[in-house]
Amino acid sequence: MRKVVVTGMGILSPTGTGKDEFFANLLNGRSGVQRLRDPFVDKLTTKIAAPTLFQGEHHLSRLKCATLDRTTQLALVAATQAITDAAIDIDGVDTERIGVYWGTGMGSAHTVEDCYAGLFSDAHYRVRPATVVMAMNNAAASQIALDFGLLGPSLTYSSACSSSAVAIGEALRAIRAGIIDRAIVGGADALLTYGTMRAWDALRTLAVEDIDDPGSSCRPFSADRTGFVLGEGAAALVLEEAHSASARAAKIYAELAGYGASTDARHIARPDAQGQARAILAALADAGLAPADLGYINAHGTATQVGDAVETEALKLSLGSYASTIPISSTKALHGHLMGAAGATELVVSLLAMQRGCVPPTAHYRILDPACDLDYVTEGARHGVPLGAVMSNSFAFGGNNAVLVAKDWDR
Amino acid sequence: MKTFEIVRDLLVAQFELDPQAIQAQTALDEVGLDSLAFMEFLFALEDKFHLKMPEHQPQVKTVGDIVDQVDRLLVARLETGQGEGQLETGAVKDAQ
Repeated sequence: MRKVVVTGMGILSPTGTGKDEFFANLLNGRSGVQRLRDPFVDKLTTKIAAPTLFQGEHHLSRLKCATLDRTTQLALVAATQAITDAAIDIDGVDTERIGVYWGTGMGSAHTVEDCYAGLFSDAHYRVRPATVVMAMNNAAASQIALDFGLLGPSLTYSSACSSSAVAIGEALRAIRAGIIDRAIVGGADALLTYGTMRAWDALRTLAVEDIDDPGSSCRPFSADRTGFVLGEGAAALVLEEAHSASARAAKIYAELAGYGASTDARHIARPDAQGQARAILAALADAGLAPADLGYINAHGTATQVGDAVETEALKLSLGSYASTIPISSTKALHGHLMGAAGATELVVSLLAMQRGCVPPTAHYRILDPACDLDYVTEGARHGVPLGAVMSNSFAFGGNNAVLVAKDWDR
Repeated sequence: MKTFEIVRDLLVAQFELDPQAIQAQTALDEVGLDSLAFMEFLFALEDKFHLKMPEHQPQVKTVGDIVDQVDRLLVARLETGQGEGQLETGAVKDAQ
């Protein structure tokens, strides 16, 4: 079977821009969660979020930004970072064999909401001519392909919180199957808009603000957890068939070794341990690994009462006694829930953890919950730990589960 | 201020283009303005000149074409006595 390796990474997140700043802030427990300053905040119950410090015009021309939604701008800059990091000469490779596999949950929330807000409140509102092409969910994938002249398939996956994990997993399969040799993969979402935040408010899954320290409002696996914090950002990776990467002497971060996908088919919003466990086991089997081989798991860990307990149960169901010996952390405590970008972001976390032998912590943990009794790395980052293989979980509304496994390329 | 100068300044303000690179004969795609960006730019023209720009403009290829079209609309408005407001500038007079 053709092996697939990761040769480039790019990220724009609430905890930093670029993989080095991003990962350093995670290790140091620096939170990207804050109280929003937008004018609409007074109308929200939950006034905190994890915004990414990003202005498209600092990276792209104003002319280009004029017809790109914020989500697409984030995606394009993250993809550019990843391609630069991979040091790949696009002109020197077969671009018909490069695909774009991208994930997004909401697509272009700002464009859609701006349009509807104007249209429904002003009889003379002029709908922007670029609205359709800015708002379509495949705008980001298309723009990445367009900017880099990539002629293979450009596909968009939208399965809520697992969108980019699914996109990455499907690209892995496409490269293995010989459909393409390389892929730009990842996800982006920028949905910190009034309407979207009101909708999440209404669902009552968002963290209650810690008034003394808003940055510590999200507390995964802690008994006093109250939910997640909405975030925005983008993460991108370059996947290459291993021989193609070696042939150009590429720097290789890891082998993307396994992908498991499953559906709960139980409830549209309530997670299910059986469904999650099936995805975990499928990913391990796909990677040809056993639970004992895993050195770190980046949990989905949304910090909802139900979600963290169910994921803990799923880890026990799938990994048996190894569930309690493998370090597990939810970095959402710091970077928030990046929705369509979450899976890609957390795979980047997992790969950097393995490359650098450092396990990022589950920040803001306070109180033991008997239903969450695994090793969540609550004391702070662990350094100097060889990990060997890592897993990243993404479990979405709709009962969509996607799990990715990577292992050291030198193994 | 002449219509050309107003249009040029609008292009510079909206898209951060180099004013030196914008002449009447400059093709829109030469400065990176594709059909989509041009359609977005119509709103800026409408706001500045208080005009309703036609939605289909296949004949517009250069900055000068935009200027000509704006001037034609401004003249037509003056001749018919219709309009949504007074011109803020002497664009028509200067351009004629």
